[in-house]
Amino acid sequence: MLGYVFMQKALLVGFLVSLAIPLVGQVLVLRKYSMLGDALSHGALAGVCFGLIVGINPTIAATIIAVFLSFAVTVVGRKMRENSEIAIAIIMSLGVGIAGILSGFIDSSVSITSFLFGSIVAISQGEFYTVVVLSLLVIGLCYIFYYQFMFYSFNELEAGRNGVNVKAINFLFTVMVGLTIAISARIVGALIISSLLVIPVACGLLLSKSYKSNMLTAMALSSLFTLGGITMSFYFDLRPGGTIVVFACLTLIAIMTFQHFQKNNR
Amino acid sequence: MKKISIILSMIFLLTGCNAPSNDSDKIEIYTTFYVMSEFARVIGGDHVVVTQLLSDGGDAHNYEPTSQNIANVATGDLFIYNSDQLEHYAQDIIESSGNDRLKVVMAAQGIELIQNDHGLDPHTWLSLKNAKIELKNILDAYCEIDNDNADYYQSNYDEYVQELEDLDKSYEQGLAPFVNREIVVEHEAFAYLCADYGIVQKSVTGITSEGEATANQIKSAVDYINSEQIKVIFYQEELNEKVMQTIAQETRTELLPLSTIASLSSEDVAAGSDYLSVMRQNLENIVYALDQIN
Amino acid sequence: MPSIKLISLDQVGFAYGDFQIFADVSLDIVKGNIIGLYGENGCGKSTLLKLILGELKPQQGKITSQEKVKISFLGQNDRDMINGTPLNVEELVLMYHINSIKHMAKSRHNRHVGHLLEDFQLSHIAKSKLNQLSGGQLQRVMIVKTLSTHPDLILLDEPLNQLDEKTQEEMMELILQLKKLGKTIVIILHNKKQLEAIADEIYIFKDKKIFLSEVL
Repeated sequence: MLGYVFMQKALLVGFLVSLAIPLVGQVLVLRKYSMLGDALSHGALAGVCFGLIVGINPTIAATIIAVFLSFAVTVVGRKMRENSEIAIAIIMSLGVGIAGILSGFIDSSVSITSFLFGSIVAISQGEFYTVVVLSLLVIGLCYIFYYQFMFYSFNELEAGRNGVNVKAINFLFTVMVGLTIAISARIVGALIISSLLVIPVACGLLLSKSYKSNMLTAMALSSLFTLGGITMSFYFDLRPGGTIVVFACLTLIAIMTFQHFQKNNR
Repeated sequence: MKKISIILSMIFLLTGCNAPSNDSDKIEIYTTFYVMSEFARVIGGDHVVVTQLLSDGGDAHNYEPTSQNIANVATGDLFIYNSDQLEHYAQDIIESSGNDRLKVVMAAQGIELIQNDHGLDPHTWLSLKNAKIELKNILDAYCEIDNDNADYYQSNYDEYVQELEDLDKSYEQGLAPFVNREIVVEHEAFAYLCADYGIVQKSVTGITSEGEATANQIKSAVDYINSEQIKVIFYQEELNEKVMQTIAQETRTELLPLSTIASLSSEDVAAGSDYLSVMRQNLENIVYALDQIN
Repeated sequence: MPSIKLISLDQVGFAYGDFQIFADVSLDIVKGNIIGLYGENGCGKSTLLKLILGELKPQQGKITSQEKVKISFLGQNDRDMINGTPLNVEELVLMYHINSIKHMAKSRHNRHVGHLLEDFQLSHIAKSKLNQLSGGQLQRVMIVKTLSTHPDLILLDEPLNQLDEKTQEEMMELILQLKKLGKTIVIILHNKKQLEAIADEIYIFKDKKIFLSEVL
């Protein structure tokens, strides 16, 4: 398997992405924005269409729109207060709706979705470097602002009262989420992003006894899912995105089942 | 130019006058995608007004008709589409238009469809011989609607078919020297072309163009290309190029386009591309590829 | 020792729209004092804390504060924050400590937090997840998180609410411990006896005004 360069690349990119995505995911999940990954990666369709129409690079346009939508979710979420998760549904429909209209004006022979949903086994050289830099950036930022992000995910109001510059952290995180989701979706696929954002973190919540161990568990599991999924795609002729998601979900179910019986046996 | 056309079409949408000019003596024709439009135009010449429902570059497989489309078809004389296998929405458009006097041509009528693992292959126009049948179907419809100009249509048809037959000969002659006739493509869309000239298409992702390639598919393609010592592989412009790029990089092969012509962009058309020129380019690329392995 | 006024309220009034909550409130928060606030529900006790905290602005009167008075606040519903969080006790306190006290090495943060947990008998549950604690343990943690930012002034809004009797006693002891440490506190309790046991001054809210009840 490692004799093929494309597999070496897929495994390396998969590993880096699987370390970076749950870092963002944990903050998202704790802020009850689990579905944001899905919303942004689909909403960014509008960006792809827009880019194709006005003639700028669709991936860049999609990334800009994703960052913009990420802010829009925050703003709408504030207005909705307790029901802030509605914001995600609203923004996702808006993005897809605009894309639906714009797609009628596109004059290009390339399918729109191909700009949005990449595959981890087919990565171009430029994308390879992009995703390496992006992953390292995300990992670095999450390390530097570890306690700020922790507080931000715990309670924004309290964070502001106790020395966290919430506006700045919110801005940084919002940009980071938009970038990560749009670029990674393009490179490794939206399916992989959505699942790595949430499922490993969910496993962590079941298994771990602290924020830190939750994060480390999520990173370890997500790299297991990703590398395992790619390997299975190689040997069993399965589509990598779906395989990673299903592998992750089965693991989550296994953990739940195990804990259920453990509890009953006590 | 693109921007202007968008603005114009928006204005048309707003003012509700998207219908073509009302030359009542011309046949008002609605087509689905590029190839159908070109066929309709070459035979009809200036006696027809052709309006294409899909935007140029639109994917004929995945398309959602707009209410404007249906409103247009409601006032038309003739509706031309390729086949129910490709434009599965064609019947919906025809029925919901409620146009009783609308004549419908399924261009692929009378062509023996090739059965593949997933059903009937819709890419009939990629065979020059089939193209002739499709043109004939369109010609017949014109003559029926507008018999006064039958000679005009017939001569346009004859002229174009002559070019088709010349190109067909070029294919025969161009490919004649090659014993090994294997080409590697991404999506198995060239069955009709291959059948005409005894070419074998080896595809990476098989019949379906939807969804991502598996690691195993890429590996198999890589192994095949290496063992057969293939030097050139083909990508399709309308698909995500990354899969073929990955394979080309892995196997150090050259990557060339092989077009299905289904979605020629208006830029390409403006630059002078049409069905015949693209088919000619396809031939050149295939000859170039086969030349390396024979 | 001369008394230092951390914060002074001068004829402060507050209204939500047309609804006047209270008016003409004057009080001084003197360093080292414990001020109790007492009154019926909805009389504006929590509003007064928010005014002191600076999160609400008074419509009438003014609030003057010494420079850089660091205020820490324990809200009535703060315990709800821990729903769904994976944080453990040590992490929570460390998180407050690190974010509110800048320019300190990580190792010193750790040491300070270790001492805090020890001083308030939380060392044995330092690694426990917050959502697995008993009500009493959790409230103790909440008071420690309030303390951990090294505030000049602590505002406690009904810290004994929804706790059983035994835990309430524990908390009372804890607050007395704070008093001995010389902390300045403004506290709301709805049990006047408990308030009398710890406060230096008690203000009673009545008819949209407040009255100084007694100086102990």
